[in-house]
Order: sequence, then C-alpha cells, then structure tokens
Amino acid sequence: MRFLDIFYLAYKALWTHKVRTTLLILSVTVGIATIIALTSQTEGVGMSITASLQRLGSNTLIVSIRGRTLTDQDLALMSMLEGVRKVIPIIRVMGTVNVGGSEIDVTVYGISAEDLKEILGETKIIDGTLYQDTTIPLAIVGHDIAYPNSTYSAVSVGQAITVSMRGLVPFAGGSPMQAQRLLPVILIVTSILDRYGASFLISPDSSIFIPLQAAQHAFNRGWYDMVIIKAVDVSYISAIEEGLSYIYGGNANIISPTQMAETMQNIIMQMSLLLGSIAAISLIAAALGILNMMLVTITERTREIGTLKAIGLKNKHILAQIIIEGLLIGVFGGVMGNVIGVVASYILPSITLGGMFRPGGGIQTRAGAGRFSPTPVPAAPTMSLSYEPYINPIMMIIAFILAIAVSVVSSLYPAWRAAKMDPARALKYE
Amino acid sequence: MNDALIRTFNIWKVYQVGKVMYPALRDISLEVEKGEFLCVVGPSGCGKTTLLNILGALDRPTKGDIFFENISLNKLSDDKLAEFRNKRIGFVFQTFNLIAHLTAMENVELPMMVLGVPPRERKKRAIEILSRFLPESSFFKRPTELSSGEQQRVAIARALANNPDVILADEPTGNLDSANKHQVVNIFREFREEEGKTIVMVTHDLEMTKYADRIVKLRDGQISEIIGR
Repeated sequence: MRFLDIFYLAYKALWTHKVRTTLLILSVTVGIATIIALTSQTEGVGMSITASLQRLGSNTLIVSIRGRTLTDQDLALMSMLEGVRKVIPIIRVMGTVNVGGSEIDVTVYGISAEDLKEILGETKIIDGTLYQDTTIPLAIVGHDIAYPNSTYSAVSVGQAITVSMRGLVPFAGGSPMQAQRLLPVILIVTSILDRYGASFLISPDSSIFIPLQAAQHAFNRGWYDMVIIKAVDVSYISAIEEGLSYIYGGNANIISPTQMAETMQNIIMQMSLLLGSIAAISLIAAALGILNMMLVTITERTREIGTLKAIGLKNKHILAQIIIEGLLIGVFGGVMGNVIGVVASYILPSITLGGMFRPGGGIQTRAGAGRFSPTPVPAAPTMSLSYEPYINPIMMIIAFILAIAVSVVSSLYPAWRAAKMDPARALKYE
Repeated sequence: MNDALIRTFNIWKVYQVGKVMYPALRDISLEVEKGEFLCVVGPSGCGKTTLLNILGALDRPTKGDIFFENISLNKLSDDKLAEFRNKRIGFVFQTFNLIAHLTAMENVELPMMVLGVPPRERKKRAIEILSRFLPESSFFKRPTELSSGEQQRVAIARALANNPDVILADEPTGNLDSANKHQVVNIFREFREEEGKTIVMVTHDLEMTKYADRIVKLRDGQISEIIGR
C-alpha cells in the first residue's frame, strides 16, 4: 500500500468528522497561540529594554554619589581614572511646564552642547538649532512636550516657556535639607527634537535640555546631580567601576547599562521560559483531549477497522493511518496556532495593558524619581518603556514541532489499540 | 476431491469467556470445492460466522488445520494473512460495512489501493466493476446517500475488485428486501458461472439456499448435515 494512499484515507477520515476534528485542531491551536503570544511579549519588552539600555553605548557608566551631590572636584577625580575618555556632568531638575494650556511633567537637564550631541546620537532636530554653551537659558525641547497631541505643535522656536521647578533641594552642596520653592524659570526655545523613542535613564522625548552654565545660573547651583562617564572602550568599564568604588566606597551609585542589559536579558529569558511553560501546560490539556477523542473514535470505528483488515490492510497500515490523523491535527493546529499567536501578539498588549502601557508610544515609569524624597537621588533611573512584541522565529518553529509532537504522541496509544484489534471480533462489534 | 479450494481438518474454535471455555466450532472438517456455491445454514449462535471467518483467514482456529489450495493458513503471519485476504478473498457482510467517509468509487478502489494498484488503473477497474451494478450518477455518492440495495452492490463490487478466488458472504441478504435479495444472490451466481469463482454464503434465509450447490447445516458448532444437489 502506498504511503500517499494511507495519508489520503487519514485525511478523509478526519474530514468526515468536521466538528470533532476542528475542535481537536483548536485545542492544539490555543496552546500554540498562547506560547507564541506570551513569549513574544516578554521578548519584546526585553528587547526594548536592552535596546534602550544600549543606546547610551556599551562604554558608558552613570555615576552618582549616595547622600550628596557631585562637585567639580569629583569630576576631576573621575577623569583621572585610567580608561576614562570623558566625564559628562549633568544637572537634573524636575518640574512642570505649561504648554498649550496644560501642565506637562518635564525633566530639565543641564548639559553642555557638545555632551548633548554625544548623548542624543543620531537624533535629528525638527526645528531650530542646537544651543551653544552659554549662561543664557536656551532650551532644546523634547518631542512629546512640543507635540503633546501628536500633530499640532504647542511650542515653537523662539518662544519663551515657563518651567516651574518642584521638590526639595539641598542648600549649597549638602545637608541639612530645607524645602526651597524655586522660582519659575523662563527658557527660550532654540530647537525641537525629533522623536527619540525608548531610552534608559534620560528620556529626551519628555525632557528639556539647557546649557550647563545656564542651569547653574538658573537653579543657582555649583554642583551636579549625576555624571556620565564615557570609557575609551568597553574593556575599561570594570576597571573604572573598581576605581570608583575605591574612591567612594559603598556610596558610589554606578549604573552600567551594558551590565543591566545583560541582567535584564537573563531575567527576560527566564520570564519567557516560565510563561512558555505555563502555556505549554495547555498543550498537555490538548494532548489529553486528543487522546480521549481518539480512543472514543477508535471504539466507534471498531467495525470500520475490522472491515479494513478484512479487505487486507495490515496492522501497520492501520497504525500509520491513525498516527497520520494525529499528525494532521498537529500540523493544522501548529499552523493555525502560529498564525493566531502572531495576531494575538500584537493585539494582546492593547487588551491587557490597556491605558497603562501604550505599545509603540512613550511609557513613563519613574522609579524612585525622588521628587519628594528627603535625599536627592540624582541618578535615579528614569525609564521610558515602550515595546513592540518580538516574535522569535525559533520560538515559532519550536511551537510547531511541539504541536506535532503532542498530537502524534497522543495518537500513538489509540493507533496501537486499533492496530492490534482482532478483525473477527471487530467485525462483530455493535 | 483434488478440486478442493479450501480444506479444513478437525477445526476447533474455543472462546474463553471468563473462566468458562466456550467452543464455537467443534471438530469441523470441510472441503469447499472450486467453483461451487456453498451455503452454510443453522440457528443463530451455531458458529456460522466463526466458520466463515476462519475460511476467510480473518480468524485462526484454536486447533486443527486449514489449507487454501496448498497453503497452510495456520503457518502464515498476520501480515501474510492480510495480503492473502486482500488478493484472494472477497468479503460481503450483512451490514455492508462500507467505509462511511469514502465514496462508492473509493470503497471499490480500497482493496486495489492496498494491493498497490496505481490510481489511474484502479479507477478504471472500479468504474468497470461498478457500472455493472450501479448507475453512473451514484459512483461518487457516500454510502449514506445510497439505498441499502445499492450499498450492498457497492460492497460486492468492492469484494470483486481484486478478482478474488472466493467470495465469503455473511448473511448478505439479511438487511435487504425481497427484490434486492434475489438480485444479490443472482450476482453471486453470475460470478460463479461466468468466471468459475467460488461462493460461500452464510444465511438463515432458507429461500436463498435454493441457489446453492451444497448446503452445510451447522448445529452447536458441529456439522449436522451436508445436503448436496
């Protein structure tokens, strides 16, 4: 008997019980789709986080000192460490700005013109030009501030905007802390940034950049909130970290985006594994469903099997036919599961995360932003998270193989039962 | 008696139901001659179907020998028996036993499929046989769309597909009306007369035995009488 003919018989047998077969296929589909949809979320989030972490470059360290701010002395010390290419001092102040009639939360960064270019990288300027280093409060405005309603621009070049600063600010370089209500600061917009996207620590889309000297003037400060150290290359990173720990002991708060990315990737991988396994459990349910249904079907088809044997089909033909029926369920379930899984991957975030997260848009998560914390936490990570689900082709292949494996394995026992039926007895079966 | 197609020697078939041994066939020695129309009759439960299944290599005797021509069926493996059934035996059942998900054509093609006949050839042959029994419009109908008479004729076409030496029919007329009954038995007779094939038919319809050359009467698993004509 030709294999193709056995295949055809299996296909016809399945197709007769359309509803039953469809349900079996669906049970596999659900499992596979769940695996794809869930893992694509974690992988998407993971990739977005690591990408935003790596945007600053792998040769970057972000440094702050616990309990106090950074001074020019610190900068000098840091730049003496071996392998340090550049030390970028940054002043960071939280506030609100009134644009287009609504208050928007912003972070104002004081950073020199040259350093800003380094941090922004390829980001283009939509309108205007970058500022020069000056004490005049010139401002580069992030995309989301200038375009709060996507298209219509609330801020234009040359316009003056008023930023109200908030929070507790320490007096001249250290404790004791005292509440100080800063005066509103007027900034002159020189340019508007194009959309930057997800980023770690500094999210340019909701930030305003002003020259470092201007920030020192406006906020009346001689100190910095954080420092970005650029190493000559990645290999120096750990040496610099060691040096910093040596100088500042346990007080150095060093963030290495590369390291964080690695840690993150590990966490995400484990999350994927966990979610994938949970989804895989639904495949066990599918397997039991197939097993159960196949056994019922085999019993129902006892006389048919007897007839096939009387006609001359060998035991192995019967075995092959039933296993192929399982295989076909697996193939269809696997294909459909992949298709639905991909679709669900893109629908899922908007259903489950709803208003909290907007995939593709800007998601603001300020972890310990220190607005009202007693000590300023200058380099507390401000994270802008947005993600696209990432569908791993390897995952799709694994899921597909899993679908087939589950269906074939659960049809083995019924197939064996059918194959070893005694034909004379099977024909008598009512 | 050299013309015997199937010979059985002291065949026993014993079923075990729990701890009780139940002999369905007791010491049956029978010869089915080539080209004869043999009827097996007897009350229900007398072992008619069991005998037929053993004659058709569908079941093995518990004890005793069975030869088909000079082949000892006892010695064949399950796979060899399946091959043997496929090539040399055509089964016809009371309940037709057509494969429900296949069309009439495909049902007739099935034994040829098993034999490995290429699709084009087996379709040709299926049409050739089917057109003797069925209007062409019914070739691609499912069994459920056919009348019981038509179904049985498709089943007979299927049994004839591989040009077997013998047709073993287990109460083939049991579910048919009078007109169809005679039609079915007449098909068997034609098959025997035109092609010299052998027919063994189990029935408890005494009216049908008038077509037979010999009648074997079974009672309690034993041959009680053989009536020749």
